Amino acid sequence: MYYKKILFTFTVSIFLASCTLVKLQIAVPEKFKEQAEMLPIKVAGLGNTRKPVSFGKFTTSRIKRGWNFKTGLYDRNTNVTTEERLLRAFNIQRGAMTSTQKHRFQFTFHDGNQVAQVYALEREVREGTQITRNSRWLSDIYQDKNMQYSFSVLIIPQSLNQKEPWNFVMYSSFDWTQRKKLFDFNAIKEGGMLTRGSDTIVIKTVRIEKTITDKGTEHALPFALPMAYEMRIDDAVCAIIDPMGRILWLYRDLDDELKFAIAAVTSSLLTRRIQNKLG
Amino acid sequence: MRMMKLLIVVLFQAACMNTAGQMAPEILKTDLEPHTIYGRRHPFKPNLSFAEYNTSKVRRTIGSLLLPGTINPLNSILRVEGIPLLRKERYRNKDVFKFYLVGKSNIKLEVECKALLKVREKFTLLRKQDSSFWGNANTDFLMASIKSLGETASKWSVIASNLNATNDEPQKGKLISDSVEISFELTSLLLKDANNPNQPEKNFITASRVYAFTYNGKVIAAVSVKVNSRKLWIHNDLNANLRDAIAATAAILTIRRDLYRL
Repeated sequence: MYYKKILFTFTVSIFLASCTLVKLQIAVPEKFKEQAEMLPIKVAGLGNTRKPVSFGKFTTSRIKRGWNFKTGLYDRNTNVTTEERLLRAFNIQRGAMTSTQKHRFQFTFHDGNQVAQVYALEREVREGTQITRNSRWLSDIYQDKNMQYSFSVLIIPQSLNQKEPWNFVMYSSFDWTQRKKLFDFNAIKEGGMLTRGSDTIVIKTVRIEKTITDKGTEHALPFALPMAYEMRIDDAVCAIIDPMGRILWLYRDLDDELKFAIAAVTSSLLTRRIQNKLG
Repeated sequence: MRMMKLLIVVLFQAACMNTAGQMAPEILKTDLEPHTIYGRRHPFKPNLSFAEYNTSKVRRTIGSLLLPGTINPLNSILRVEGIPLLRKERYRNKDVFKFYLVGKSNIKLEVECKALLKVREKFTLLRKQDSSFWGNANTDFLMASIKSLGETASKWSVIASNLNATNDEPQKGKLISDSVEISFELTSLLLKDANNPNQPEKNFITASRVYAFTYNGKVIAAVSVKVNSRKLWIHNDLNANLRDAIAATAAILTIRRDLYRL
């Protein structure tokens, strides 16, 4: 029954994804909407191009991108899966492979008053098993086991009155040994933070478990779907980033420096190349 | 076509409530100094150098160089068209090595290490697998002693288990000296990629799989698990004795060989 549900959800998702007129929207709480400003973001394509990003009074320069390279080498094994144990019993050759993908980019960010240089690094490390099949009819297989993704951003202010740089880091880590069932999100550790000295803003991926159609029918999803990012100072939400709708909801009463840093983070999040998607 | 105009409104409030329950504990962000570990890329450079430390005279026993697998004729006989009816893995591998670690102030440490792996695994095709299939009957441990050859005759003992990841138990160990106890365990941490005050644009933070060293509930050092990207992160304010012991353990964890045959 569980697998039927998953199959049904997949079919519906694929159908919806193929329909260009379908529009996914986040229902932002009315109370937050009243106190926040809505900034529609202009990003070219999927955001992984060199074209600038602009929203409200914020604009980036042309994105300067480094090489996007990936290296894969045989390395130490950190855990043995049940599949690997079975393959060994069947005498099929395997090897522990670790691949690393890195991508750097930078841009200048300004809002008319403040200017900052933004440097970003995406790094994804995947551990997997390379299964070698001694047949000319069948190719080798690579199966993923663990993954660590981190996205690090340095926002260095260029103005004289601003001194310390902002440091943003977002991570996502999947550990195979923690997975108990299919689509088990407990095996994923994720989060992030924007810091400068003692100031800390926490960023979290918002996962959705319910949807409502335009007719008002409510549907529960069998697994949580990543839809947006929310930024919090202590317990209060200060910004919501909606990458699908390309909207930034920014709390009005924040000071200009903080607004500027959140906007710079939003621009860098939407211009990633390795994980140019949510979650 | 009406279906095409379907508008999905996602309940943000409901999601916010659910997020707290779903979130796994955060990966810890630390403030440790990164140091690249150089050396041992090829047989002509057998020593390591990192931070202010260098290893010398890395020696292995002949028994450590031979890593035999299972020698069981039944494994070949009990096969039909390549499909095993019964397969038993029974072997012992060891890694015994010794090296010296020299620090900045000419402190010399003698490190002796012995790692032993005893594999007892069984696979049966037409029966329910017992716990030995998942490596629960395997024995995997590492012991080491770190002795200071200088005026301060300090001695540390290192014990660790499951470093070859033969079962689902955590990969962890301890460093013990008199009343001081430092524990280490395989985990993911957010660590500095570099720390260059002249080029702040290169000081990124990345997530890495490391053995994290904990002392008094605080992460004081970490060493990479993977051989291809080796680094040691260590706290600058540590006292010299702890720093030397951690550096020696990091060298052990880097020099040790994988004893488990995949």
